[in-house]
Amino acid sequence: MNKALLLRNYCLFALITLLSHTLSAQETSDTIPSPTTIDEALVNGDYRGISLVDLLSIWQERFGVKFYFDPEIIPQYKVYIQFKDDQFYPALRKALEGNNLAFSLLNKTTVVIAPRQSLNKEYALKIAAEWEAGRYTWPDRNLATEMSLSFGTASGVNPTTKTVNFKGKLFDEQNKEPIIGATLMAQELQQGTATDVDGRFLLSLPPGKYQVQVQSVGYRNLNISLELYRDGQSEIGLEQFVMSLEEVIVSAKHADANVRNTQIGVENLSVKTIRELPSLLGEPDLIKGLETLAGVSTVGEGAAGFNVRGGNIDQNLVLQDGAPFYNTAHALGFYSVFNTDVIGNVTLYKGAIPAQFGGRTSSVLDVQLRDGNFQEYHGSGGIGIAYSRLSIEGPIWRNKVSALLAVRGSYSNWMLRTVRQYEIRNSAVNFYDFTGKISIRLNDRQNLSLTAFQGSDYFRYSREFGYEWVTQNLALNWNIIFSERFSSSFKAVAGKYNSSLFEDAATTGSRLSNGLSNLTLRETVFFQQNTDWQWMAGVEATRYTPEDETLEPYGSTSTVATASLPKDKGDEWAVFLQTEGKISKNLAFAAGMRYSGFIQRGPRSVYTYEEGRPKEVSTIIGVTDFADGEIIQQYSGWEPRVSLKWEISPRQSLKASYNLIRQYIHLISNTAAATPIDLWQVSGRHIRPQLAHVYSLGYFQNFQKNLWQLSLEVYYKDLDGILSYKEIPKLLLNEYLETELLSAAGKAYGAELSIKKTSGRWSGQFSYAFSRSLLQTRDAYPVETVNEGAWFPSNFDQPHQINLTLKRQVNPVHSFSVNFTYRTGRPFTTAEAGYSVGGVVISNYSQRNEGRIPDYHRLDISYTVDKSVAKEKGFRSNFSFSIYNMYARRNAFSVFYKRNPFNQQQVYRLAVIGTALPAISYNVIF
Amino acid sequence: MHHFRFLYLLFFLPASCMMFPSCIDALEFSPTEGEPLLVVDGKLTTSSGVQTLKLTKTAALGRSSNFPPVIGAQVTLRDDLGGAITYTETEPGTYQFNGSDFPIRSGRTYVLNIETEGKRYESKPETIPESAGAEDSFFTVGNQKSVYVYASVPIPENQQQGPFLKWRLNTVFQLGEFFFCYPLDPTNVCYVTGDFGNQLLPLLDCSLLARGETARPFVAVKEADRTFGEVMFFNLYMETLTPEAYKYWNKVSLLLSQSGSFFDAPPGAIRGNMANIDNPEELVLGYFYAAPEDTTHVKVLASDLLPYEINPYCGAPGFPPFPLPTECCTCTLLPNATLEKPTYWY
Repeated sequence: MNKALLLRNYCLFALITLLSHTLSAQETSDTIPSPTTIDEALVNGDYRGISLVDLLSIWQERFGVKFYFDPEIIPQYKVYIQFKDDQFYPALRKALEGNNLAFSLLNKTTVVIAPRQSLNKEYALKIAAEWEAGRYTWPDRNLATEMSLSFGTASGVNPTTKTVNFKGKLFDEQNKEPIIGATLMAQELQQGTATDVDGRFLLSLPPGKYQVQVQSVGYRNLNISLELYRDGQSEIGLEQFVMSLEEVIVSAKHADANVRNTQIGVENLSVKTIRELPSLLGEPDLIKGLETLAGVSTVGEGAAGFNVRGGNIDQNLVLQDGAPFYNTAHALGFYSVFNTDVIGNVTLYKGAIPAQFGGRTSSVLDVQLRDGNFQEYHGSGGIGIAYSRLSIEGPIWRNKVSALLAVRGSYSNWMLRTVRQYEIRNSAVNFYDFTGKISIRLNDRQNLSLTAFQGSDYFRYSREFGYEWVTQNLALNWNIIFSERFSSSFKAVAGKYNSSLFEDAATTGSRLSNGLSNLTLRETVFFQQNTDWQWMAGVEATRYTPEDETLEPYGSTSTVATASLPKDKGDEWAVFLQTEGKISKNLAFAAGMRYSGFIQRGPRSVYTYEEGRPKEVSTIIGVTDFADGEIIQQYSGWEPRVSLKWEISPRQSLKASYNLIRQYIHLISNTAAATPIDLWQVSGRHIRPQLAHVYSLGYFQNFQKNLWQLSLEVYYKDLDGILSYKEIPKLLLNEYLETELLSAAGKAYGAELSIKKTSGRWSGQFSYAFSRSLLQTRDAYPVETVNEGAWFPSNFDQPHQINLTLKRQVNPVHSFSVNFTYRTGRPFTTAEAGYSVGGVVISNYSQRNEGRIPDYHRLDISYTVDKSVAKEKGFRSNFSFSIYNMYARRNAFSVFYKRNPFNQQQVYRLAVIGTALPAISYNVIF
Repeated sequence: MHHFRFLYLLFFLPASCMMFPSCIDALEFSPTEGEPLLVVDGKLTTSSGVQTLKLTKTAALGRSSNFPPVIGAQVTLRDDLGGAITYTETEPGTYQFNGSDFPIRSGRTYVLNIETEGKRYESKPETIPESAGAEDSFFTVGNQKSVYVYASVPIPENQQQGPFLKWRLNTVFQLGEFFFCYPLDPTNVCYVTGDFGNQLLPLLDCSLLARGETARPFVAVKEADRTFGEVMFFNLYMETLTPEAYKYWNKVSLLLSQSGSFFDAPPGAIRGNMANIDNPEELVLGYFYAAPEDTTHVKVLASDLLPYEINPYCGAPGFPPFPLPTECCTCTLLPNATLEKPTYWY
């Protein structure tokens, strides 16, 4: 690397480090008094309903005092108190006295807290010694609260009664909203259930005494001492975990869900985790967060979409409140369409995919937006160097109707203007998006929500060419609870994706446009047979209506004639049945069956090619014209899905699954990374559906009360109908598209190891994935095979991938994160030799994907100052400083051949980001 | 005060980091060299001059020219009227015949046969299209003293597809002997030919353009350097191709324009229109094509570039460069220089 550049990069790093420290000092000097002034410090704030430990932690950070206490005793206490200009020690006394606690000063800034009756000098010194020796530490602050419930007496139980029901509803104590997906587990029987979309639960147990543990992310655990001798009902409030304000909006996931869930290859990613990751230009991004998971990768920085277990990006079904995205990229792929301010729950299915999902062979990314607040108005926003965002939420009709509105807009062109290179300086990258959700509680048993999304992008390279693309989605969700056991969900989705490629070239300037619309209707019914057995069945239908590919003149001097190529339509439909239950105490299963079908419809001219000869224009022997809506071709088939879980112990399980999945629409893309103009093409007479048989096996184990989680998964995929391409094909505005396509068989296999530490001062995740993805074309003619019909690596074959994310919570306000990524360079086609034709020297590339670009690795760091933890309400803010690509590695996005100044073919690499990128972002919650 | 620091951080640092954009650099790479393959480089024109075909083999990367010639091959051209002519090897790997001995005509179909090293090769039939007929070319002066050259092509009303066009370009500039040279011969004026390198391969498929209009495609750009100090000509040789030949050259063009970006199509072998009769799977590179050619010339004077001032090749009058380049007194020392004035020069 150029020494001068290295020096400049490190100068930049030094500069940001220096300035970050300066900023921190300035920020904190207003709030943290020196030890000599603790008597003068004033306490303000609303601390009603939080744990005493939370309060002490906040004050320790804010006032620079040290609190010592017995971690076995003090976490049981809560406070319910407000302060306004109270002096520090009186405020502390006020907080403790209601709990019959007292404090003693070891020195001006070291405070020992203990029950009033225990506190004396000897006790205080003993406690202090335990802390100094490191035997006492700050407790896990998500400790459980306790409650008791009693229904009937042992003596009153009818001897013939085998089970009694404990049912009710879980709600948020603060805003009274139902808590979805929380788990209730009877510890003695290891039998449990989860709350539904209305927070309702039903637990059927033999009469007896139980300890029921209630868990939901974002809430403090609750232990219920339950005496259940007859049917009982209760509405139970859970307390928000004050230090995890943002966790309220993360995935509701049981702490040991990785072991207990029947499904394999399912990942939940919390928004909090995404935000804590060091990010490009300081903006948290869902897709970048996914790429830290084992088996999820990308072809390079700035590339659109993501690849799961060696699959193409079109093999991922990406849903937001049930509405599919056909292009998840903003700014070509540097950002994604997902606004982290409004995301509620993120689930990635990359192994076992339940039967209600279909149509993509690699994965399902199911993103659920949260509802707006039904009680109060709130907002949040962020200022970054590339774009800013703002979201507002609140009740339209308190407790009945809420709204959530979020917008993002970019202003990144100013950065391009700072670049010396003419082409970059005269380029433009703009995007905006809008996400809105209206949630309506029709009554106790019916919810309705309407989600709308519109995203728009504009990219222009110099004065030469550019892309525009727009995504519009509208999703209506209507949930009805007919009884405690029977409910339904109806979904209606309309979506539209349009893109265009424009070239500014005087008389030959043109704009090429295409698009795809979809209309989906889906009805699903749920039946809970008992706490161990549940059913789901449904039907769905989607109409795909591609827009004609259209070429128009671009610019006033263009002489390009308007041309248009009609595109065929498609109807995809499916019925499905899924059940999940327990066969024995240790053996559980999830089984599903999906029957799907597809109908290709006109308008289209379908060509017939000479039998036994390559598909080329010259081998066309006939043509059949199909009118608009006329059926051209039909496909259908079964899609069985089976998962088994053997629970070796409460902390260990072994899982296996088999899936068969059919995919009926395909992204026609032959560039290194997908471009916005790439065409979505429905299956048809000449393009078969993709088919994937997916086998998975996994071992899961948790240690130390789920503090450490380990998983090892292996998988094998047998694929058919994968689209490959002839050499340098013409894919756009091509009436004979099939003449450029090849149908390939595929296989992908691999192993994924993940070790996660879920909480504590240090938390994080290490993952290693071994993954191969290979294709084979078997047709008889040389022009219809790749690499003479041998297996060859797909474009997404990256055998080794390592991710390490670490977070150090320095104190409740300050945290530090590190992210390291390594992956094998992706395949590329190497040149074997050169030759000359017509005075032009050309490289000859005879074997596809034989070489590999250099391996990719990168280290990012971030430092977060989160002042929002100090209070629950009002204006709160946090800063994040990050450096992306810390050691300024020039990771190759691609390797290519070009003539050098000495008129010889030379190998070059392109690094999209060739330097360390520092960034800062500022976020507010109000 | 700290708010100002925040703003400073927010705006100064990103601006600084953006000074280092994405980068392209050369990479050490050791690809395996495959078996040498036959390369056919042949073109028929409708002119009466010499028709040339080159047969070579592929060679290791890094060569700029001089690929191994295929010598002693038997090369025959046949037309659809039963006529045939055999090429003569005039240099190693270079095979020629005189156009007047076997006139090439538009509308006729030709097939090339090659026998070498015991193998027989044959081209797909190549029918020579009618010339599209070039009109006057022109230029504009753009950003940073760049001269943009455009062609003009009428799109026939009665032709549904095409024409498919490809241009070759070169430049010729004028260089007179410098005033202070001794002995001075002011009549010594050189005409120096230059090329654009092989990265430039302008192509145009007119199928999508409005019928009856005139297309004015951009074909080349050249930064105005010292060679523009007196008179510069751009010579445009427009070839009218068959759809198949256009498809081939379009693939070549895509390969040459690889820049490693998101928008690059993965490269691949480009199969031409020659095949081994006995082993169709053998990859034969290159292309045999037939195309009528139209030539146009664009004249650029130094004064056309004003307000950009161009320093003459041998310095401004009264301010000769020191030391004075020898070619300023003996212009024929320059590569591709001749004292013979081109016929189109004015």
